[in-house]
Amino acid sequence: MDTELRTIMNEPAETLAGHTADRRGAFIELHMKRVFVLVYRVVGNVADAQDLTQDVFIKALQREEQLRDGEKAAQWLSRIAANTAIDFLRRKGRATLSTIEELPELPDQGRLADPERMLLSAESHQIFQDALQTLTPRERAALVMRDVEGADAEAVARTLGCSKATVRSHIANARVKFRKFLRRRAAAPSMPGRQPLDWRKDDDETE
Amino acid sequence: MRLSEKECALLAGNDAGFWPRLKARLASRGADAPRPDETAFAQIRAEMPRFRELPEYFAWDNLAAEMKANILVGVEAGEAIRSRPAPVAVGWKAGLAFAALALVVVSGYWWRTPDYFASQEAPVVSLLEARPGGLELQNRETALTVMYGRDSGQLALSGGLGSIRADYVDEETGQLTVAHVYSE
Repeated sequence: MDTELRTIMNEPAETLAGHTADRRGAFIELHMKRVFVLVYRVVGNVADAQDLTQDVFIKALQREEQLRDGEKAAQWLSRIAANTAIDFLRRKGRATLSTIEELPELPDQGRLADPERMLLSAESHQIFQDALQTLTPRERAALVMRDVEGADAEAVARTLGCSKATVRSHIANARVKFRKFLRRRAAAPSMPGRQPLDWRKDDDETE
Repeated sequence: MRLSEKECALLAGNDAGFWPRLKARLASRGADAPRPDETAFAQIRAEMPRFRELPEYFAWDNLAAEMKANILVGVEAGEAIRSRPAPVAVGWKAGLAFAALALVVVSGYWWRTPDYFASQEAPVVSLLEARPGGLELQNRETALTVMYGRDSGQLALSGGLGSIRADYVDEETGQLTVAHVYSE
């Protein structure tokens, strides 16, 4: 699929005159899920993720000349996606975060004794999403890109527009908070709902 | 040498820098078992790639189709707006040019009027004056004097608007001489 798209994107403009919609459609299909997942993991809800994903592709396709190289296009899209999602949360001023001490309730909490194995449970997606809510937007983006997508720290740094050391700091914080969340979640007898927190303070501290 | 939790978190993903890696190597000398913290982080990390996929309850196909359609419409709408010819810019520059042109026209009209210049010149004034030697009419730089005649005798001067009159009687002969000068 990637090779096919790259071939389409590299064709001369006149040949492509009649294939613009197909070319764009192929580009969208190739990258949409990855972009949506990244945005969704950062913003934490489907409706916002849907709007932002659409914005990301519209921005990208308005500069089609930068999409000729498939690999660079993917990286460029990730950058737009991560920054769009982070900016969105910044504009809102507050992100919905759960503190690790005040965790949301699981229907059958306590079933899994091993916190590290909670991510294998049927509710793993919900647990994962709840755990992400304890991170700052930049930590979320860094963790998703590094550990979920498998991008290296340098690529994450390029995408987030910061240094590799800052990315390491984000990743370290994110993993520690994530693990702490899982441990608390496995052990907590009762867990209240989410509470909005000012994440900007955390972001400043980590940088 | 003890590693912090954050260092373990970085080591689990091969993200640690030189110093934590060295510390880890020194700490693990002689110890066969891996550090529990690092193992726990590694276990969690190993599960992460699963979350590239969305949960099954997501109606992804429908969502994707809807987003794709919206994106294509959005891109086309953007192109339509960009391809529309830009409106003629009548901004402050055009206003300034128009004002300058208007100034030139008005000034030209004003300056071409001879009356304007005429009104700016000093008015022509004729001055009639009785002087010891005679009646003098001055007009700008020139002057005309009508002499009384002899020095002795009786002189009567009278004048009105635009004229002056001198009546002179010669004592010897009794002859009356009238000099009347008008100015126009």
